[in-house]
Amino acid sequence: MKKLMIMATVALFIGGVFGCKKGNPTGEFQANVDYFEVRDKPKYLWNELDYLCDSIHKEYGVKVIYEYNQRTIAGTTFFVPADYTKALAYTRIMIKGFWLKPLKENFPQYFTKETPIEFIEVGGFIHFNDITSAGAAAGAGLNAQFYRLGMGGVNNFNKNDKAWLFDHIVTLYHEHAHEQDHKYGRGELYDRVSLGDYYGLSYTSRSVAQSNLDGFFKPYGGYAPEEDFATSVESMARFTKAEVDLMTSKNPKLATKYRMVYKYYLDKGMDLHKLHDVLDSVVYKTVY
Amino acid sequence: MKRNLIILYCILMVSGLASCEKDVITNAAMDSKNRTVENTKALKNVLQNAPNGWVMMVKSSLSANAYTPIVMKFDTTKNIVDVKTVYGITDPNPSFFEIDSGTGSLLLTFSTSSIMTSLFRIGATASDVTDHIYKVMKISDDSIEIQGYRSGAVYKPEGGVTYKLFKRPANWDWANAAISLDFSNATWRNGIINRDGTFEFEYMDGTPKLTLKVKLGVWSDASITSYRTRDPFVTNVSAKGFLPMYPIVFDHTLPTSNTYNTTTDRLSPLIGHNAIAYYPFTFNAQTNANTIAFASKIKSQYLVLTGMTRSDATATAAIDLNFVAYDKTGEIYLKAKYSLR
Repeated sequence: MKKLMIMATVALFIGGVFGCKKGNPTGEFQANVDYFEVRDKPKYLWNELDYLCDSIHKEYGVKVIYEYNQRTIAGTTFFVPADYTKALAYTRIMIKGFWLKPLKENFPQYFTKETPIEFIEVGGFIHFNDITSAGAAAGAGLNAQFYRLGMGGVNNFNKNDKAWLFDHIVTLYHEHAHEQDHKYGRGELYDRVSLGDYYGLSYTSRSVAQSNLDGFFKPYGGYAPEEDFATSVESMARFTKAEVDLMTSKNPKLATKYRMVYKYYLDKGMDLHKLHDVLDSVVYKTVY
Repeated sequence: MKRNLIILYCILMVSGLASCEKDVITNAAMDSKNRTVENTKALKNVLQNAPNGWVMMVKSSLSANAYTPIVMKFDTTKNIVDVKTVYGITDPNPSFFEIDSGTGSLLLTFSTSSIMTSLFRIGATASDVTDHIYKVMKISDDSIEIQGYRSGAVYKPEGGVTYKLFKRPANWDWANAAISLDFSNATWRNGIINRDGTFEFEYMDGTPKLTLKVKLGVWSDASITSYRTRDPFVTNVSAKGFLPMYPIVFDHTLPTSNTYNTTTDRLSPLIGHNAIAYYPFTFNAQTNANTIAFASKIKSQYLVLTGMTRSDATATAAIDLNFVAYDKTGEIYLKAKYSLR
């Protein structure tokens, strides 16, 4: 019997070793395929904008994406790439001229630590459910990830429309504020300041003056705390310190939140009042 | 001993069976880099080897049988694609495409703004295109099968319509770069506008022939400027790729009638690339509805110009304009002739 057991064990062992081929079973990834590999466009296909994006990447560490492939978009958000000539001018003037260059020169600490490493240029706006619906809500930018920022409306770019350019760059800081919020949190104390005062969707029927009296920089800030935070950053980028002071004087809660947001950014190396002066200068007082 | 051998044999058999899983699914085919490289090369060759370009027939909700032709010429040395279709004149700004490998099939992506990304945005009135990213399903020397990556809105299943692209037939001269239908040119339109003509529509599927009396006209420059603020494509920030539209005046009536009812029977079609597009734009509620009704009446959302003859350059010349519309496979579905005498 003992002999039989030994024989059986040997047989099992042999069967186990030679019974099947072990090579490449289900789910075992091959080492030579990198599924997350970023396949850059080969250099022989580069156009003027590809060279510009490359120089921006080298100088500022931001990869500007104007051309889409399946890695750029998610299956559940809908947006289209920008017109090539618009994207070329937008990248040169808006991205390099208005955003990255002044940011690196004036706020080096903030630039180094907080700048996203990817920026997506979107021709139209961001449609959440269906791209063909004309009237439904559409997002101005992409701000859900820490490392990636995106802005819509690039097809509307017109370098002679300074009001549009200024509005766009302050909106970019608004979208980036959402990222900062996701990344560090605006804090519970912030949310408590205007607790109970938020309008919800009825913000659309409020005027700017009324929203100031109610403790917000603009009606959209009264929509919800996250927009309150982002519109605060946007308003400090948009208006002079004197204008901001006038708004915050209308409601002590607004003044409290203003101080919180101002300090939040200052601690990270960005003086938002200085940012206004810088943006005003590059958009309205330089030649491009 | 014999019994032991039988037991041993049984054990061997059992261990042989149990020690391996038989349904091993390998992803060896997908892991092969060569496969992607080879397929990319094949697709590039095929795209490039059609000097007149490739045709994609898309379906519009405006018509059941007439499909809209999209003619695409791919330059694989610069990754630039030139797109011509019937809804408007193509903007000369370059449009780029990319060939990329997904985890499965190759992907053909219209990667910057173009007519193809606009069709994705515009939706069913213009086409059944539901993405600007396509899976490449099959490649042969004279056809390419592509399928939209997404099929529509969020929560819709993956995979849109499958299109079978074919090489542009040599006699589709309307898709050449030269523009031979140009209502914005006063010399060209002399004798064509402000005259009663006969429009005859003949169907290949046996639908009875249709004859209408038609008078064409042009809008004033001021009206054109005003209507362009309602351009269904160019005013839409996500739908670039066409030059600003050029709408014309199109009055129709029964052949026996001597008057045109400009409320019910006036429409304003758009001039496409050597084509007239019965594509609605809201310059007032009636004309929008009138355009849709007319597309339904003639069973086509467009007519492409295949030829034109005129006896002389005067305003009273004998002029014939020949048009066609195509079916799903690119065969002629409708022949139309506009005669002015």
